[in-house]
Amino acid sequence: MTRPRLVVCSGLELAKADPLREGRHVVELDTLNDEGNVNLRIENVTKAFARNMPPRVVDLLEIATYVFAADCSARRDGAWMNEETEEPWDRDFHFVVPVRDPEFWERDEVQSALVGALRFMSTDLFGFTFRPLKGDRPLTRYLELRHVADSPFQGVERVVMFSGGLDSLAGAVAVAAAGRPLVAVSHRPAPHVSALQTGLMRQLQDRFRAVPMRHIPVWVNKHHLDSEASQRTRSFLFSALGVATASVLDAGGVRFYENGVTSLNWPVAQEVLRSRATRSTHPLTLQRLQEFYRLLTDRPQFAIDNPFIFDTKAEVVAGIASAGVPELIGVSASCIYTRHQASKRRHCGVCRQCLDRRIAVLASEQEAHERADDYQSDVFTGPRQEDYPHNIAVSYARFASDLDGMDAADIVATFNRELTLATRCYERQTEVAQRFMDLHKRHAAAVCAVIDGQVKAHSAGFLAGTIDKSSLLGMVGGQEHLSTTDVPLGTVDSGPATAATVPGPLLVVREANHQVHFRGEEMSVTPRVLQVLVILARQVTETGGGWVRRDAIYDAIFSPNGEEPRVYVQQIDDTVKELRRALDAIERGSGRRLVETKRRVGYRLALSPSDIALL
Amino acid sequence: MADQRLKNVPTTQKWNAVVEEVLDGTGLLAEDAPRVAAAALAAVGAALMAAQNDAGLRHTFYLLTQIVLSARAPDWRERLATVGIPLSDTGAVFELTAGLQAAVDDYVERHGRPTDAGEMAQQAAGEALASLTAASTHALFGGGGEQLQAAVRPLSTEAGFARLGQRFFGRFLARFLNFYLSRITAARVGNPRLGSVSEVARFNDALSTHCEESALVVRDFCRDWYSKTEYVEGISPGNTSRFMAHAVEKLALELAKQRAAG
Repeated sequence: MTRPRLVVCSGLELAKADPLREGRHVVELDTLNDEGNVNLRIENVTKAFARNMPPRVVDLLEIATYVFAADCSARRDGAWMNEETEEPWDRDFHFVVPVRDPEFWERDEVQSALVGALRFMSTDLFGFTFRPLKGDRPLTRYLELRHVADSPFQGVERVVMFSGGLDSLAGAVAVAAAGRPLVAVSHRPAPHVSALQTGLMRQLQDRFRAVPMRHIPVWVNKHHLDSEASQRTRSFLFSALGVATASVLDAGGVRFYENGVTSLNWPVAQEVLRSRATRSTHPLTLQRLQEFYRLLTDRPQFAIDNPFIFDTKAEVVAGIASAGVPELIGVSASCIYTRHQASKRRHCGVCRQCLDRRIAVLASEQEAHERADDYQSDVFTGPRQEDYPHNIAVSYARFASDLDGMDAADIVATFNRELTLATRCYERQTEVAQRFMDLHKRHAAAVCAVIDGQVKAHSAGFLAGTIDKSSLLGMVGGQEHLSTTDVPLGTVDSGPATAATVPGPLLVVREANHQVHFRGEEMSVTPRVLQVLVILARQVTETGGGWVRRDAIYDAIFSPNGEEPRVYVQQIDDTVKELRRALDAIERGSGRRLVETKRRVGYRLALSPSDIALL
Repeated sequence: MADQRLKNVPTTQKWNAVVEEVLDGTGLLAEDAPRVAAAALAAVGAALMAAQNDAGLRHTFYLLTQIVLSARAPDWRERLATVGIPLSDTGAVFELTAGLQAAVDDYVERHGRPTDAGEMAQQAAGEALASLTAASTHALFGGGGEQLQAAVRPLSTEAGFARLGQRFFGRFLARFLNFYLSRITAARVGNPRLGSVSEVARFNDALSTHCEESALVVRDFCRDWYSKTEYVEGISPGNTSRFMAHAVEKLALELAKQRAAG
């Protein structure tokens, strides 16, 4: 863990001997004073509606801003520990924050709810000490003369969080298409991001002129601090901006619009543990934030929700089209590297967000509404540099391919941790689990179909050898998982000897005579290899196919000998390897693997019953 | 924002040597999974030894013992409830594993802090329990009830628990090693030994299989400890912790032996 931090806020002076300092690196953050290093424009909210904000909510905005600034300023990476085996990830923060409503913030249940939400989304340690605020920030006070009923936004069902990406656009479109007043709140970290968001909202208003809309971009950024890109507490700041807006409008809650696959964010590789995958809109994050905000607002019905949790991104994009505004798809931007949004090509084309976006657009058949040259590098054929651009493409494609091949039992086992965590806050946990599985199956099928389509579309490039080997297609194209793998071996027409040319069974085993012929060639096998081959072949002839568990081989062949387990392991492994080599040597022409291995299952002979004669 | 942190192993002498060893050879990497696993373990042995003391890892395995022991009793739902695992009348495999995961999270929240090793242990436990029980019950999601108890009960015998132990440690070891190796393999797609994305999947399968086979070494150990301890003093968090330390060490030694044997 990196050195624990003590974050002293709002210009508070902490005595040098204060025990809070012990063992901690002190960081000062300040948004109250003009020369402060954190910028929070609360008036962006109050001015928009000419309303005052409750002091406790002002506290919330400052706390959320400090948490986010500290999160973005403390680097997670560094030298690996414990003989270079432990990757640094978790951090430890303690904040000392002057507040206007210390009585509220010091309540145990409030601190527990706040810390619980932050810990889940970041897996960092958080602690808070609150002190009474002495000098407040200059805030314009409003007389609030207008009657509340005059405003179409008063008491809206939800304040909508709006980032300018495809999902939040789809959410805003859904609200507008239903004719409901739209209050969209954005975090405004930099001018070019703000330009995108306001431009998109303006176009939305043009399409739905009769719908009252108000866009509230709120400036929050930091100066002269280190930079950590992970930003796992971002949704705390984001939702706090929404809650602040909801508080001045008496809205029923705050709504995120994010597709379910992104919200759940299952790991694409086994190195991705805990908050290494963002949990920004994970159902448990939203539930814990909701619990905290209900205390803050004193409203037990106040809601933080996400209506897209059971939708794939492709389905979300299709929703924009079906609302009659597909042309807005190309106006939105999704790239994680927001600096590109200031250029003509607004997407890098290599990050996870660009992969998700382009694939969703193609899967929903909306490519006519997005410029292909909006990507600096083609998502599928563009070259990928080492490290993240390369690794994310590999892991993304493999994750989808693995998922596509899994049945319900596989998913419950392989993603048990993720699936159970995702459903924990639902009353109908098992029903929701099935919906989450369906969601991921649909996502995987869509990704595989799009990649498959791209491979076919670029088949000429593959033949000519012009597909960049470092591109996504270059790394997956022409591989077994994208081709038809269930073609019976007898129909394979490559190689010197095939079923078409060799009449009768391909594999003939005379166990008693210790003779094996494959494709007419005699194989030289050891007694143990023959035993394994017979077990695998019998599984095909008796059941029509199917996997043979290692346990079964172990029990049938090795168990009676009373040898040490270590020897069994080596022998099973070596025996199967030997069998595979012997068969592959004859089968070399087709490139197929005759002895298949499946994780958690065992071995299988890739032949049909009619290919085998056990004599 | 669906960010996922994907990083390489450190570019230090120690890790460069592991990468070289991974890439050293002429065949496909999947065929070399045992050697690669042994090389990786030699590099990360310190982390595996440190995991012995992980509160999450220990409590996860303790709860596995309590789940299977409960399945022997007519009031198994009540017994599960005493270790923090609620199960409805119709609770099926998914509900059981969900209860297990939540119980471990609660424990870790109260007695320590979440760690990578603990997370891997929870993944492995869910995987082991689901894969071994789902095979004998069609009720993954509902209509479990007695059928679920009947599916879990075979794991409460000596042989059954040995199987569960092997599966758990095999899955844990595979996830543990792939926490590091997945960074190396993803980054090396295009190398002759990892020609494509599908070769990474194939290697992952081979690694998983190899780890489960290697965990045969703890199968008998699990069986003996389980029956003897339950009979003599009853399985407790304390004696489970001591057992875990031995089991992890045994597993590490097994891979070291394989490495030495070439």
